[in-house]
Amino acid sequence: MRNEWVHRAAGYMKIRVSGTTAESFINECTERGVIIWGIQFETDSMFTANVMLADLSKLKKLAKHFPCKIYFIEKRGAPFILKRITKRKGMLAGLAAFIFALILLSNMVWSITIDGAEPHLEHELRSAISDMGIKKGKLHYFLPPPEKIQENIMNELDKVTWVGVTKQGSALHFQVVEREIVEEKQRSGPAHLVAARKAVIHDLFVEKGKPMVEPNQFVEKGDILVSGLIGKEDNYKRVAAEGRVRGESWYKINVKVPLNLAVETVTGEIQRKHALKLWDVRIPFWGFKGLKSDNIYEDTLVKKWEPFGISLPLAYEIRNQYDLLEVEERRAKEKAADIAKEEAVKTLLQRLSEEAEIKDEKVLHQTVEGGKVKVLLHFRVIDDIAVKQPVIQGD
Amino acid sequence: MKKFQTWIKKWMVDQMDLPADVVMDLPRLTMVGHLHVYIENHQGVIRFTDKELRLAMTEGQIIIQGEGFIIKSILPEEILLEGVINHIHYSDKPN
Repeated sequence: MRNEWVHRAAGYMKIRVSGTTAESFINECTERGVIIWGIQFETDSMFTANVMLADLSKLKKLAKHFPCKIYFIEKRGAPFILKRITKRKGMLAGLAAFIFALILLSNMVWSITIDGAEPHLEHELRSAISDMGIKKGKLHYFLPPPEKIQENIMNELDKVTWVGVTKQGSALHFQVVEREIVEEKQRSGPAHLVAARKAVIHDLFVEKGKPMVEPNQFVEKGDILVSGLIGKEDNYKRVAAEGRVRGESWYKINVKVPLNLAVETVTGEIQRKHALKLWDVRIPFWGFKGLKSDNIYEDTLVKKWEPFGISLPLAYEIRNQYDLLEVEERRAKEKAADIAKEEAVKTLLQRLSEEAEIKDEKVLHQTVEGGKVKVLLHFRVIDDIAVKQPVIQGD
Repeated sequence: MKKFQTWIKKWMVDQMDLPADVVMDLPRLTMVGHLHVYIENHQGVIRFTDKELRLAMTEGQIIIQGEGFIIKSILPEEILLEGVINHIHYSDKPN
């Protein structure tokens, strides 16, 4: 039927009419303007039919004047369904709560992602954002619009060239372009370059200032390498001397390396113990045996279960016991000397600048004494020896 | 006079190609196989059972016979009947 849906939306009733014939009832209905349909014959004086809910009052009037009995069998359509639903308060409340939760949760900030920022800037940005009140769980509704956030951040952080703030559903995304800060060279006052240590000049490259030394010249600590005073003696100018002076210097390093070394190794035997932890009480429930060894290495792993950020007193503990074996490693004298050399280079390079270059190394002395190898090494190193020293005013 | 009117109408239908059901106030029946019959321009239900439907016309009646009749919808001048329709005939019996 074409109007089936119209009928359902408006609500209709199925009625059973007795005490009259169908035709007379139908004619009566058409006369009174009661819409009737789906008439089904049952017996000579009884039939069923559908009538609209809106025609109920008309139908009642008809029933008063017309000799018949009307029984309502079924109630169908939207109004009746609604009425039935409204009776179920719990379901209705649940539905309302669901819709409320849906709207609320979909308007929350669920994640804040930051792209293109270095860790320290990201941290700064995060704290700036949270100072603005933008945190996980806040409602988008109460937050300023992305353009405003963008403006605020750009005003607040000067390390940021540009920030793009986009709202993607319930997530906020920050695209950061960092400002590259060019460090300005400290402009220093007039200065000489002096030797940091005793050395033989290897080569020198002077950008500013008057060179005072030549390659292969021996300098003592504190000797002026490049002067900050240029020009003639009476008519000089003060400048900050700049340049690189590389010098060769010598180092003696003493290293001691033991010949025997005790090393602990794991044999591969592992015993795992499982236990539950309630506050500080340990309740073991698996792996009671333990290892029958004197030398045991033990590590403990505690897993805490934190549902929704609430820390429970309950924890799960796994204790691993490893059997250890002590092994004495014997080193040959030559090997020990090699190790000593390596260590000496390491300690030496720590004392020098990055540019340092080891030119030559020599073993001066090597003795075995009380299970240890003593090595005295000599190094020739080329390194930057220039140090700035301000020119004293009124000189 | 009435006979003259009828004659005029009949002449109009024949000569002027006007639809007979409009001009002469006759019922129009539309059938879909034996499942439905749609009757327009009837003058009221005279009898309805599950095996028979009698409708009044301006003159005489339409008698529809069959099985399991249900009146699907009914409007002042239209009726949609469902069921198994075996037989439709007209009778001149006055209302």
